[in-house]
Amino acid sequence: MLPKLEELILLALLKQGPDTTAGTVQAMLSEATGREQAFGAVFTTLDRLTEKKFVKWKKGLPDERRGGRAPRLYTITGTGRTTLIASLRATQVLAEGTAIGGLIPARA
Amino acid sequence: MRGNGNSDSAHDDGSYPRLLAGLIILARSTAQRPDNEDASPRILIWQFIGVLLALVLMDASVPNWLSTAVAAALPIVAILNRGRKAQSWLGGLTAPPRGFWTDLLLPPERADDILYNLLGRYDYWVQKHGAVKARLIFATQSFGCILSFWTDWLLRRVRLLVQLRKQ
Repeated sequence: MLPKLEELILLALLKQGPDTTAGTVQAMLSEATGREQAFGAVFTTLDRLTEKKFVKWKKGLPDERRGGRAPRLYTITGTGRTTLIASLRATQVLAEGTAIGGLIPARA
Repeated sequence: MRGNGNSDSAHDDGSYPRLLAGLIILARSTAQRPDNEDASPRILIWQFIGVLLALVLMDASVPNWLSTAVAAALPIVAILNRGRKAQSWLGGLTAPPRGFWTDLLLPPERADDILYNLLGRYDYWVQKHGAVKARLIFATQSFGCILSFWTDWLLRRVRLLVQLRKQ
């Protein structure tokens, strides 16, 4: 089983596709949860996911508009995808048969 | 009468530094305007009126020795400030942060990635919360990144040590 933040970040990477920056992931999480997510938590979790080989990254090109700094571009790996599916399946199995099973209302 | 005469004489002596102070204030307030800002003649006239009013009020309410001291101090302040940026203090607040502490306290590659993403999000924060609060958020998020990086670094070492001791 994956911790919740790791699961959400893997989902965001899966949804966004390859070569996603941490900033995009943070923006997606902030939008999904409705509050500004801490960048520190996102970076640390991405480091942990990289260590577990669920995510890989390569260095992007420097951007002059952002002080000539180059980002890390993250992509979910096959292992990451398999683990995410297993984790989501477990959540789904547990949710089935409860009042919210299969019918989680959208955020108001 | 004599007292008045002395007072008038002192008043006259003090008016030149005050006039000089007024001219310095006017020159500096005009020179410090950012190039992209609208420096219309109307604004300059209002500035001049403001300086004149300040001089009149200073003359009326402040003791002579104090106004002379302030007038004498103003050129020194002007010289000290000459090396500063042309931007005003508020203008400096709206500029994107440099991320000095992040650069200093994190490994270069990590700092690059973090600042790239924080600067990318900065415009959104400015639009949503305004420049001052955006800078505060930037500083808080930078501090959080530095703290979480070193906490994680420390925890990994502790975990490694615990594993080594178990073996």
